[in-house]
Amino acid sequence: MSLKAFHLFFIATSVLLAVGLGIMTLQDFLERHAMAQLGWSLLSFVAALALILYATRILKKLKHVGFL
Amino acid sequence: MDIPYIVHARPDTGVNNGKLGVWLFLASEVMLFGALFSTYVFLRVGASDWHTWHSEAGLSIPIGTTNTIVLITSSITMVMAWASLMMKEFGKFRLYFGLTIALALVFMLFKAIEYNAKFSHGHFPGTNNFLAIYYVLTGLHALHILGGIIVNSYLIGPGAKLWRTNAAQFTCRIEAAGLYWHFVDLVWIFLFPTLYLL
Repeated sequence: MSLKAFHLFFIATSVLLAVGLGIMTLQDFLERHAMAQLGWSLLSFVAALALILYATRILKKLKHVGFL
Repeated sequence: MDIPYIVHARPDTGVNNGKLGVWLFLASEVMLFGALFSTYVFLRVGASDWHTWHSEAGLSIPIGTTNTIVLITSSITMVMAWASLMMKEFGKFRLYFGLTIALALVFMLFKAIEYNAKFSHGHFPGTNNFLAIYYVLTGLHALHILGGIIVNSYLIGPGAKLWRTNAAQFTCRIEAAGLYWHFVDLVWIFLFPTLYLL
């Protein structure tokens, strides 16, 4: 597996972490109505989206590099 | 004597020798961290006071989150450094690779602050099972970060001379260093929710 493939796997795992963190803090906001938790939730979802956009960009940039 | 397959892939393995060696090493690392994660699960399942220990430890989620962002960014700069070499832009490589090392140092600084706060509150590895596994897992991970800093510092310093004589081999070395770095960062991606959030 090349660094390109491992990097995409790493970014995918980071996206899952960001989404998980977003859901966790959103649940906390719904239970306790703490505005800070809503802020953290939004930030987590934005981070997940930014990572997805980055992954598509790097995939285009490294299109000539193989996955092995 | 020339050593074969340091740049080109071996027909039988499909990868060059350096990459195969790094992946074999990483396989042993998976077993090491896997065993410690299993230890964490068994300690947690068997302890009735786990949540008390966890809350008493008072791990800082903002510091943990910051360190997560720092390591994700360092992985991005590592790939940018490798991509710069493939585009024959050595100046950009130095910038991105230097940033990777700087971010690793930032991670270590935050870890030192965190450890210092724990020690000043009397939270030592012998205090309870949660802190024992916390120090073992994060300490071993920090040692891996330190190892990465040493290797990367060599590659941006004296090791960079290879770029002038054999650019392809140097690019392969950076890829191997990048694979190791991604593994270390991936371990943190699992450590952070396991220790800080759950």
